[in-house]
Amino acid sequence: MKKPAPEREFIFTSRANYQEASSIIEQVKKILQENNKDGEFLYRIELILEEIILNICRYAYGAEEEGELVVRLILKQDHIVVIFEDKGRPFNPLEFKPRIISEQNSLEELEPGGLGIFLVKEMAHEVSYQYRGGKNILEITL
Amino acid sequence: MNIEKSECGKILLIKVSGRLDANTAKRFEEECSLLAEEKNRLVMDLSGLEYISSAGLRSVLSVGKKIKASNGRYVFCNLQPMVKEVFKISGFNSIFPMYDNLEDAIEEASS
Repeated sequence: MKKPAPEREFIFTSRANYQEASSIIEQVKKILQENNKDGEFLYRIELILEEIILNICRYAYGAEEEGELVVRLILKQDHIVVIFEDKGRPFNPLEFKPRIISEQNSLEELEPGGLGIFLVKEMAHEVSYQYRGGKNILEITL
Repeated sequence: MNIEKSECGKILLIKVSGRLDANTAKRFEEECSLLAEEKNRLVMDLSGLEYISSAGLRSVLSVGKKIKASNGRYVFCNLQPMVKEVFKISGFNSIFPMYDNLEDAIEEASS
């Protein structure tokens, strides 16, 4: 019988600056490609990474702060977990109510606030948030 | 991201390829807003667009508002499956006409 692949974890650390932090996206994609994930899966994880990393870089820290962000990628046997951590101001994206676009909205008035977080929730299987030890910890399963 | 423009009567046919993300969204918005001033009937062929994120969607929407303000047309076609899915999830398919082929998109933009 084939032995199940052991769980593997990769930890990426970056300054919360999108130019620098976006390199994490490429590194994660490369690992997942090597693990034979298909194009749809790669799209979903890339979108999640871009939206969350961008949010952390833009809003977690004040303009004067040089904050840090950590992304943990955990490859489990039948699913993948990505954990985002920052030490910025507490922010629970799950409490954020995005305005959904529909025909009822007039195009001129439309400002898709929270569209990124809404997409993340749609692309993931599970999203959970906690604030612990001075850190925002967002855990996403897919 | 690359933008290729060609004219088709009173319509501008714009072929977008590559990625529309946080790095390229601003350029898309600037280029397409300029094009929309030239002609306000735009057919966006997205057959080469591999990826779009919320930053890309916001730039698409922003161009759409300008076109709407001038009573123009803004029609999309040939979306790749995941890009189509993201448009759908975001509700964009209910505010912009979308077609599976170029001919239908051109017909809609001409009307």
